[in-house]
Amino acid sequence: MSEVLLGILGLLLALLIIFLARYQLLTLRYVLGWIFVAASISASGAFTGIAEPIAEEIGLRPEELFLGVAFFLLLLIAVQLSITASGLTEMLRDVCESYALAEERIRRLEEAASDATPDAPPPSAGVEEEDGPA
Amino acid sequence: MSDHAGREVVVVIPAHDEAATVGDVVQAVRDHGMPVVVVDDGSTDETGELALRAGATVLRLPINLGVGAALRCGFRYAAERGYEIAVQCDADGQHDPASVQALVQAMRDEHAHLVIGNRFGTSDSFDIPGPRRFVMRILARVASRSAGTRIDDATSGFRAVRTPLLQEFADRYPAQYLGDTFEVLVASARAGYRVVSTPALIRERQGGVRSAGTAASLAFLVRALLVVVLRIGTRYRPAPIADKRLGV
Repeated sequence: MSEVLLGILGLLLALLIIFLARYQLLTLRYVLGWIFVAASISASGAFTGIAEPIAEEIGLRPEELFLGVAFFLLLLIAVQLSITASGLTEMLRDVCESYALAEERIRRLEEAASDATPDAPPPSAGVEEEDGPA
Repeated sequence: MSDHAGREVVVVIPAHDEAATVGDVVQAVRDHGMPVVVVDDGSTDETGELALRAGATVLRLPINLGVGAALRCGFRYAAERGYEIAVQCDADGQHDPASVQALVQAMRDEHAHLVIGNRFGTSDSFDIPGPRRFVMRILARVASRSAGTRIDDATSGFRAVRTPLLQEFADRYPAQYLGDTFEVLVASARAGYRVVSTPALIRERQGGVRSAGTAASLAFLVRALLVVVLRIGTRYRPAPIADKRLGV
């Protein structure tokens, strides 16, 4: 019974991952990782025989052992995601700072340009807006 | 690049939703003849506009990144524009612009790379709630040991930094909690830079909200102790700073 359950569970996860990937909500890097997890869940159903003596040794049912291992793997994934998120935060910070510095530089250059040619219209003014002094 | 040549000091003010005070603070600093750069940290109010009108150079961060990131942006600007000294100052009016010169003077007198404006060093009373004060004492003790000199106020946000440490700050200023005050002080001292403390007049904030309720104080306590435990044993990962230390 538990073999079938694990098989269905793995299949559902794989379908979810494929669905997310089709809508480009997951990058290929994560798709591969999760497909591997889904396949492992499905396949683990076939290995309950092997797991039984180990589970018995530590006083657990095979299903409980699988759940424990799965829980630990999920924790590892969560830690990995935290690391990724921290890195992304740092990158975002860097990009925002560069943006702010570049924007200030543009503003300064625009001011210098308009100071140098006081009669010329500002670069943003539309050419066809007016025909010049009548 | 060259339009600031000969001007040595720039005042860096990180500001997030400080429209009530930022204009006056900028004006007060400019009255003392110093250029000001305000880093608008994703404000939702008129902070950037008012700072610009008051005569500051404004760097606008598109989203709120926190004080550490805002400061690094300001330091990057200062380093890129060739300033020798950057003085960081709050936008809420707590830091007296008249004291900026005192910080710079202390820096020159003591040949220091980093000067901390010490808010406990003046007669002006500055009330800090109990638990917070307790943590600040611990931080001060750790900071003093690293710097080899007495630092009473390790979390003060009123400080002056000079090249080449300014360039280090521009490259990798920590953005995490207490990183921008306490950790950076300890890391600088350990890398061989000279860190000193000088008394500075610090007033009650003139606007904005002060985050010092009981719960906030308790959170500060827990997080600060965590920082002490986590960071104190570790050395800074990028360590080329030691080669560039004070060449006096």
